[in-house]
Amino acid sequence: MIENITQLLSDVNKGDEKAMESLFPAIYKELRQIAHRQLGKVWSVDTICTTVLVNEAYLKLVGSKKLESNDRSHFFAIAAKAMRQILINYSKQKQTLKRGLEWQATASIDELSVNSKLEQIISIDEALRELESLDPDLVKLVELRFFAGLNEQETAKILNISERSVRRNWQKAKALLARALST
Amino acid sequence: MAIGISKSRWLEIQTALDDVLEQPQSEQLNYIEKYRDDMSLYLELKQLLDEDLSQLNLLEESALDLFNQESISVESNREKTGEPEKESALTLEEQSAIVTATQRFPNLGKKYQIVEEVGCGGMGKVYKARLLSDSFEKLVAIKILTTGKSSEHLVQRFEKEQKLLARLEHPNIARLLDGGISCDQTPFFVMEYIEGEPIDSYCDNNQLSIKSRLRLILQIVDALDYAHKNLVVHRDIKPSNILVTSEGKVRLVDFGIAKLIDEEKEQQLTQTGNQILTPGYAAPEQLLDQPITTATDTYLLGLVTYQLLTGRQAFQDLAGSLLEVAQIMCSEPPTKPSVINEKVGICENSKIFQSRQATPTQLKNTLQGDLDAIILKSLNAKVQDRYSSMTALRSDIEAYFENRPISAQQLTFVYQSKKYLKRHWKGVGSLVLFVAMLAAYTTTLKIQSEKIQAALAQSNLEKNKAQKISDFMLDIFKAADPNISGLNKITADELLQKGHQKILNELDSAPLIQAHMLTNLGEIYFSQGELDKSTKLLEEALEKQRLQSRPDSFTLAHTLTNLGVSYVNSNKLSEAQNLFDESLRLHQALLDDGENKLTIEYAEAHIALAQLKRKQGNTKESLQLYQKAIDTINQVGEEEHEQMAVALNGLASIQQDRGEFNAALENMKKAIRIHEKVLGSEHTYFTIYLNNLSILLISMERFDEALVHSKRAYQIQQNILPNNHPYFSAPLRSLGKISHARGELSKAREYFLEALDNNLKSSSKNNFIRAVLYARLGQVSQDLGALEIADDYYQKMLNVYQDVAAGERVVSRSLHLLAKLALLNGELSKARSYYQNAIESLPDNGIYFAISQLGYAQLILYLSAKQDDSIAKTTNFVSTKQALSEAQEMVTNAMTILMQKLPASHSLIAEAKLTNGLLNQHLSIRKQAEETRVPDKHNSKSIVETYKQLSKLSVYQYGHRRLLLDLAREIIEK
Repeated sequence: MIENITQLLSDVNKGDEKAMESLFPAIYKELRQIAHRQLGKVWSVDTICTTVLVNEAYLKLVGSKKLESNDRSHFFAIAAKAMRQILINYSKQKQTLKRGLEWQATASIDELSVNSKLEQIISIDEALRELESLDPDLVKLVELRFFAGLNEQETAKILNISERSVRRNWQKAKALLARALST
Repeated sequence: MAIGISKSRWLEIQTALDDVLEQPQSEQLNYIEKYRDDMSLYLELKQLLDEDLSQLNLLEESALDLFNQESISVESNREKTGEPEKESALTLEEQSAIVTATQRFPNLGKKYQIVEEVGCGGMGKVYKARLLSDSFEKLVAIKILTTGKSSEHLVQRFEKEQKLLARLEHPNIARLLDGGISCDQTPFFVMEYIEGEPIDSYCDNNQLSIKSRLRLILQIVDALDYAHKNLVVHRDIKPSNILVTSEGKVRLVDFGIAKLIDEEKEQQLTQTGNQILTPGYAAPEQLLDQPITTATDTYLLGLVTYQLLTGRQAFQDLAGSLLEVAQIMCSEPPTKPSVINEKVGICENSKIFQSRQATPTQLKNTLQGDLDAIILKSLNAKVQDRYSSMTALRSDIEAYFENRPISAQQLTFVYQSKKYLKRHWKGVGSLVLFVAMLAAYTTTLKIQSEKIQAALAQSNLEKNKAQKISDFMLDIFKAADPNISGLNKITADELLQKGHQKILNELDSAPLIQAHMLTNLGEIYFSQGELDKSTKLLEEALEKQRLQSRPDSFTLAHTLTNLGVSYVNSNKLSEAQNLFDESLRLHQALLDDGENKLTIEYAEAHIALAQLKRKQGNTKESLQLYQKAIDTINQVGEEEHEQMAVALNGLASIQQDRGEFNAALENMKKAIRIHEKVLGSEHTYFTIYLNNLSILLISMERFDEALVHSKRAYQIQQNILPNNHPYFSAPLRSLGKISHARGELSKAREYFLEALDNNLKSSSKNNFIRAVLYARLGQVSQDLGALEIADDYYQKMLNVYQDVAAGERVVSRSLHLLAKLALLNGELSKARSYYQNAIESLPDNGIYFAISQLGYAQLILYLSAKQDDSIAKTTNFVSTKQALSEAQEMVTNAMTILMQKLPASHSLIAEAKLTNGLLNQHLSIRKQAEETRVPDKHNSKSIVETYKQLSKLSVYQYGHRRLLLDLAREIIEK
């Protein structure tokens, strides 16, 4: 598997769509395992850090091998997307769970506000799909910053742009997402 | 949802937007003015900048963090039964909820006034309410279930159950006060309102240590034990149902209510299967819909304990989905509590550790072993493999606290001996050293094993031999494992016996190691008070070495010293002397060779010889030897070696004898300090030192301090020694002596009787201690006025002395007791001959000599005072002036000795002074009659003062002491 990942990443880098198709499930699976472990959310959990999560997946999949910086960027981009997928799925599950609870208890105000956060995340995901067709680079940025929890510096490195551009594009993405959400 | 910008338009806008966004945020809106030329672009930009970004605030956090928060807010929103709420104004919504509740429950309204809603959750809503009563205001919690309506049948069952629950009365259970069915058929409960915090947050907020947490858990165990005995199962034990009040008292709420709810659900078939499982707080049988028993509570408590101790819930780490967790729970144990945090990679500055006042390693070490076992036993998926009762659980937790073996641990030898060592750690002295080799791999014993290694290296045994010993000991280990040899319980004694056999059977080919081991084993038996076994082993060890053509000098010397000590204790003094001489010669030769430096063993040989010299009465030489030992230990550089404590103890005892009380006290305290530091307080020698300190303080008449030390000594001994161990005798004797001196006669009698009982049980043979105890019991009986009983005890004492062939000197020390009894019986001439015998046979500088002289003087004084008395006349000696002068001489002499041997403030010195003064007074009265001399005013004053001083001591209200004071009062009054 690990052998393959490096190869796949470099194939993705060359624009091989098929490589992307096999790479995403691999990373997704690994991340989901790690995330699930951390997010067995009937449990209370000490705060965990997303970067740790992604890096853990990276180490598991790629090992300590040195990757081409391009391959590395691809990895993180895919991982961020996978995280998005995982977290959205998770939010949806969670919502179902909550709805399931309602037959037993009238949801309290607090629960409603929690619900609304989950809903917000789900609607952000929907807005991102809108944004995808307009500017996929911005989506990538949001995935890295928000879903994978990377900081500006890390994001800049992976997207191969300046930190300043990261900040500027972040503004743009937010403005566009806000518009999508308000309509 | 749409952005409403085409891709091509976006490309156009973007260039301008980038330009604008490059500006500081505050200037951006002004900056776009420059694009006013292109109105549509301008508007687009303006609109984008004006977008309400507030709904995207959460983008600024990491998505995962949101989930973390979300989980926390759900957690904190669990049912808050009885949780105190801030006294805030009610919101409209809340008010209307109350109105609704009151309307729905009109029958509630008569009895209770609802104050506010305090929580809601899976089962329904909880209200805080006031009990409407004339006499007092009482807060209650009302729980109204929202599960639906009940059938007629259920209502009946419900009422029956509720009565059962209402009978539960326990300090750790919130009482169910009332309950019923509302007019719309909804069940409700009224419970005691508890001002408390859920146990998990209570523990964390107060940063409770693991032990403190366990103590809270014990309170839960008590509550459940009580409930189970009343046939009630809680079924819903979770942190939110365990409240801790501000005084730290645990109160369980919602007792048994889950059962009522479950039954409700059974009736409402449509809802079956819809139940949301919360594996975090459910037992496998609940998940599998199997019968619920008291063992269910055991499991649930196990889950809570797991969480409270580790900071994480059991099974939390094992799988993602609820279904998976449920499956795992029903088949597998959770991850061991001790390793869970490591396993899931909690970072070391997590609040988990902080709130338990421990580092990750400390927490791990605390949980490892017993606590792991206790929790995992509680969390057994199989009902029958859990604790059979709360009592069983409780006794394991208590055993953990007391370092006794717990039932949940397999009775492996390793475990048993570890426990034994931990409990008796310092108590077994060299046993520790010995077993350390067995368990060289256990870290706690590492230091000890290093000592052994060092000792072996010193004795010129090759290093691989040390390894051989370790391996060999491991073999004993295995052989003693109950799983292999079929033993249920291994005792230290069995271990030692097995060790001995193995040493003999299997080490014949390695005689040096064999001798070394036998010597060690002999030392252990000695420290255990097993003199005979110790002697036998050491003799074996010596014999083996004698057969060697080239024995190892160092080991041989060590064996000789130890065997000598055994001999000293079995009174074979001359044999001991020979062994010590040889041992010291060997040590000296090694030193002369220059091969060896000064060693602790060399000092030990000196100490052993010093003890012998002391026993032989050669205090001067003994003192020098102790001093040499102390110097040697100092030179070796181990000022805090346990042998230093031994030497100081010996030195102090000689100093006490010489009347150097302050020096003795200082050395004794130092010995105790060193011993406690090096070997801890749970050690037999430590108790002996403590009691020696007590004896010293008793002789200084500092009884309050003495009491503390003797009591402590006795207490430690009871902890570390088996019943009826001969060591108990010493502190008991001290305690008896202290009580006697304080005039608490019956208490004193009890202590002495206890000591006697101990002596009779621990040894079938007569012994010196037994004679001493008879003497003490005689004294107490005498003071109690039971003179015949006293006589009986004294006769027993004499019989024992005869039986053990005690020398004349020893018996003579007791004659003053017989004399005093005779005096009290009015047998004056008998008393006189006892005193005369004592004075003749005792060495003329000892304390018993002084006491006998003082007693004789008092007898003369008494006789002189009662001269006209018929008693005096019937005795065949008369008190003359000459007799009085002789008495005065004696009392002066006695006083000189007492001043040397006792602190100046001692009551015996005062007694001698008083006797002297009274004798003076008598003489002067006679002289006055003859020569009309003025009485000595100074003398009278001194008599009065001493009289007053002694009257304050309660022991002077009894027996012969009282006789003296009565006499003094008569004379003073004259």
